[in-house]
Amino acid sequence: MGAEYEDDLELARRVSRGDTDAFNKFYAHHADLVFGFIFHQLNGARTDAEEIWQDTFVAAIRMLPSYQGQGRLLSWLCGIARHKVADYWRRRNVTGGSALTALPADLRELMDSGPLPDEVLNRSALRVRLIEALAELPDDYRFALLARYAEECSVEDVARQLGRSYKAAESLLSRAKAALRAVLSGRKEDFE
Amino acid sequence: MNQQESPFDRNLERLIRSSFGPDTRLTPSAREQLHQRLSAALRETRRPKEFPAGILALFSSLVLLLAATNVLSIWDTSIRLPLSFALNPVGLLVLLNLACLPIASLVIILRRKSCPRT
Repeated sequence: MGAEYEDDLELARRVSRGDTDAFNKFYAHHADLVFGFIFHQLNGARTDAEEIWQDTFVAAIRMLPSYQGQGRLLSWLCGIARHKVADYWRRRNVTGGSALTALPADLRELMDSGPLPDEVLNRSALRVRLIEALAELPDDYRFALLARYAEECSVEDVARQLGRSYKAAESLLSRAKAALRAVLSGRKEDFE
Repeated sequence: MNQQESPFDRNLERLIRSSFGPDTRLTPSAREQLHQRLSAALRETRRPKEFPAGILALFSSLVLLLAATNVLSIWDTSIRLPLSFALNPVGLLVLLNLACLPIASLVIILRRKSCPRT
């Protein structure tokens, strides 16, 4: 079975071979999102989140040669993090994953129905699902969405950072939102 | 662009903003600390395997034994060793050793090039 994500597979191979530039890129592209993914699952326990985040990356570096490019590298990292978080909750005899199952399978419907109340918006499970969905997107889509909404950059700034025209950045953002919508509704194939 | 935003778009923006607030970000020191730790872990995984100590000791003993036998045969002429037979393996080993030098050098250079220092 061939690799679905050749670019991620190539990056993983270069990191495994000890290529410093590839390693820096791997780290820069994934460190923050993986941390956010862990942080929200631990309900904001920063010190523990940092510890699990470090363990996740150390394990990932060891396991990189086994990555076959069947999913995005970021999703693969989130998979490792998920196991580490499960271990963390197991050690404390707490079922940490129960909050995740309380969300509807089709988040698009929930988000389409009107403004989300703050108590829904602030739920860790929703944030974790968002990060998982972002992990499924191509790098440029993810970058554009995070720059525009997390960093609150203007469309002009997003365009400048991506080296594209204003129109191209606007179009990219629109496609990125459509792709995220497709992932959140469980129809990933809609944007592929 | 904002005028045509759907509830989904507005919710998405709010969700992204709240999910990546300042409290959820890594501190520069934590980021740098892990970067260094991973760089070290990466170097560790790339460290070439050491030559097995047992085989190294066996080779050394063999060479020492052959050298001692030769010295003895030169020193004491009463030792009736078939000299040509005893010296041939030594000569072969020396030749093999010399032949390995350029190959080993090449391997070392290639490995160093494929594993740049961080």
